[in-house]
Amino acid sequence: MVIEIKKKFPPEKATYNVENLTPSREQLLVLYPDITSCQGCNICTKSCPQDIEVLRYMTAALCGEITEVAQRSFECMMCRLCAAKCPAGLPPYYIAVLCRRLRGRYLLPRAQHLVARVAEIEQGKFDAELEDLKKIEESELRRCLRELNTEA
Amino acid sequence: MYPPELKQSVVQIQVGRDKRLKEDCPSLAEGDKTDLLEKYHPNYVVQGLRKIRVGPNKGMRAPKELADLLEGHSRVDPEVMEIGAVDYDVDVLVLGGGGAGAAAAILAQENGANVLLATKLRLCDANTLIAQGGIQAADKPDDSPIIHYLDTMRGGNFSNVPDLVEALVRDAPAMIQWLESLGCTFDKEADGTMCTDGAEGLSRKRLHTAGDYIGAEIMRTLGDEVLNRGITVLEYSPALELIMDDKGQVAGALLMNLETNEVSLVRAKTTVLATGGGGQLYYQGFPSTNHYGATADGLVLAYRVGAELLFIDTIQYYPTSVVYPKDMVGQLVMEKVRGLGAKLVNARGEQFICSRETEDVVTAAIIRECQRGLGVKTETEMQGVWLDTPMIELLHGAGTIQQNLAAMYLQFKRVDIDITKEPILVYPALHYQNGGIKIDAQGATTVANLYAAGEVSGGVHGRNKLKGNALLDILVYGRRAGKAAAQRARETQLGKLTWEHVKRWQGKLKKARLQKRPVSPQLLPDYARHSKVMTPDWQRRYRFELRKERVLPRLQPVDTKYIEVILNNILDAKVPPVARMRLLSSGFSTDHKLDIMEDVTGSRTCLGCGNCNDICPLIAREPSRRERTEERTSMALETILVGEDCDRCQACVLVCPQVNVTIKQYIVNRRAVETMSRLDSRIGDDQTPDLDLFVEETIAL
Repeated sequence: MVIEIKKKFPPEKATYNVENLTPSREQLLVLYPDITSCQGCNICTKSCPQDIEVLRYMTAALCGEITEVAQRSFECMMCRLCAAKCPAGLPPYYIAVLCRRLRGRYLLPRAQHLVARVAEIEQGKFDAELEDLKKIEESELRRCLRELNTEA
Repeated sequence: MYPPELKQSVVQIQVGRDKRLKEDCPSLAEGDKTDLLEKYHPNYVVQGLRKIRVGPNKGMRAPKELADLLEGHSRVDPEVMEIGAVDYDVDVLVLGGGGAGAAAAILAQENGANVLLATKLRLCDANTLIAQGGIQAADKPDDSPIIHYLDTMRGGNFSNVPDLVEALVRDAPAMIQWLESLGCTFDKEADGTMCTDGAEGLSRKRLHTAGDYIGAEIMRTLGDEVLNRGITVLEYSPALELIMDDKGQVAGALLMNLETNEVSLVRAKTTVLATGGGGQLYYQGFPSTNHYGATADGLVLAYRVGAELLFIDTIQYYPTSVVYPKDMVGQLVMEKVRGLGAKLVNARGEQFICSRETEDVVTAAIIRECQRGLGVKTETEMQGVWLDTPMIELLHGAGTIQQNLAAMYLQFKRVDIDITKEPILVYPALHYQNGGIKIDAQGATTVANLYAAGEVSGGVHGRNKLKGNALLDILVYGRRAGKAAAQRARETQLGKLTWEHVKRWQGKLKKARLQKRPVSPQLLPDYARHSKVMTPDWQRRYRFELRKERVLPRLQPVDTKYIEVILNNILDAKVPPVARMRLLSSGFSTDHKLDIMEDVTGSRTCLGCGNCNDICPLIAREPSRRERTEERTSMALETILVGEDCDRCQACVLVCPQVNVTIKQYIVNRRAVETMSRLDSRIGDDQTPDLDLFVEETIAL
């Protein structure tokens, strides 16, 4: 038996600017080099109150499968129990959140209609109409709503 | 599993199920609806509300529980409390670690301010995390901010503040874009088009979702971003009182660390309140769907420095929350369940309301059934009506529930209730505080240098919030308040800090003869999720300890002699390990005989992590002790008994994440001393110590 003092808890979080990252295995290893020291004891999975297969996604993280990590960890509530129990002192929940953010920013396609609408708003397309709406009375607003529903 | 008396009712309503499948419940006429609401909806119940008797909103109606706290005594005694050294000197202080707080902190830092974020619990521990529905934004081609504006006004019964609604709908698409660029996942088509849902009161499909975890996804991302930017975060540090300077500006706050009870003074040029609502105050005895920290602290803090409040008499009730089993009380049952075809049924097995009615009408109808004796009573004297989930399977075929309501199916499965065969007992619960602190479109309150954002603010939603606008509100106004606070901080010169405003407040209380009011802000709610689950004795016990007198928090360290007595007492108790740990971490017990331990018990609740049971050598030796359950909730773990066979190894105390560090240090130190002395005594006998044997013995210890 080996008796060892628990490493620092909560484990340290790598700080990064999500704009300067690349969605790759190397990136994960640069930010969290310790993930290679996972012992595969599976206590993280056993401790998870959300029934997430933590070890599975940690293994996927080692292989750089960012989408897999993001999907498997999607129900994570950041309760930190996995990290509290990890004998290697790893923070699985931080690795999961990093992968989810990498996927959200780099791997999923951007919504084009969103870009168009934000541009429209910046150009002031709705300004005049909103100004008018702010001034009108309740009965008038009700009339607008009725018209809207008949259109639809 | 349902107990026999409920089981009987389950069988009763099973009989009419086939008939109910075919019958269609007609929707109510407009007049009947108003009648029903005025008679039964809790917002119209006069006995639940009263006029506030002091302060800027004197004469305005508020829920009784909230009014008591608003009229409460300060936790700071201005006569005794001196303003000493400033512990933190920052530009912007953000109070609250939820979505609004995180967004405000990020934006304030982006605008060049030095930011401190203080939160009562942990960063991300907030109602945002448990929001499921979605976030509104008019970004589809068939939609526009104009329609979003109209919908929001109608939802709020046209009482919303127009400027606030305008900012809300105008910023909405940019918020989604901001989240997207931060790496938030949304449900999308293959080409990136957002999948959007519709909801009650929305003219277009506008709810952006991420499975059932939209709130969690937003909160996790924002929380991560706060840490990445190196913003200082103080956890377990609620504000006791806002401090002002001699020019009448808000100038920071007095914080208290819940773990060490130390107070620290923060001087900040501007302060952003993002402390959320007050669902955990159990207005009129209703259960609550809210997070543990929702005790309306922000309203109290702001009210005491003279900020005006708006619409605080309107609370949003969620029509369906779990009533049985006891440890799930208050948990929200999604609208989707009714949408899939589950009908609401009273004790006689009759449908009493059309499930397409609006939330407030359904709420009033459920209360009516219970008041006229057609509700189903549980052992804790709570009432509810059945939400007939098996109908979903009959309508859409077997397997529909597991596919569409996976999380809920699992949660009930754990307590032996199969919702594909048995219905759920539900009752309305407190859900959202529609009103709050009056703000302008930049998030500024009526007091200089004080900003507010999120549920704590009022006016955006008028008298009723529309689904999906709350998540939007925290982002739009969190960002606006953060930015405005950072800009304002640049041009602010603070004067001398003072407690004069507290003195004036206490004077006003005295003048209005309101000495018998509680101490506020409340900080921690009563332990259970519902007032009826608790006996009055518990209520008294679990109000935060400062409730008794108006004194400053205790600072003296705990006497070690005392710890020994307490540890022995607790380990003597014939209760499961988890109950013992609860005694140590929060003082919570079922027999309430714990006055002796007040000095060592903390204020941290059981997480239900089960560490105490996992480490226990006795349970490991005799696995039969745990056969009864594999469930990991605080209540379920209690079925694992150790009782008097306990080895007294104290390992459970060491592994509990919630127990006070002082106690753990004491145990570790004492063990070290004992071991050393034994080793020492052997060497003294001129024997060579057998190290292997020694290590074995130490482990056995």
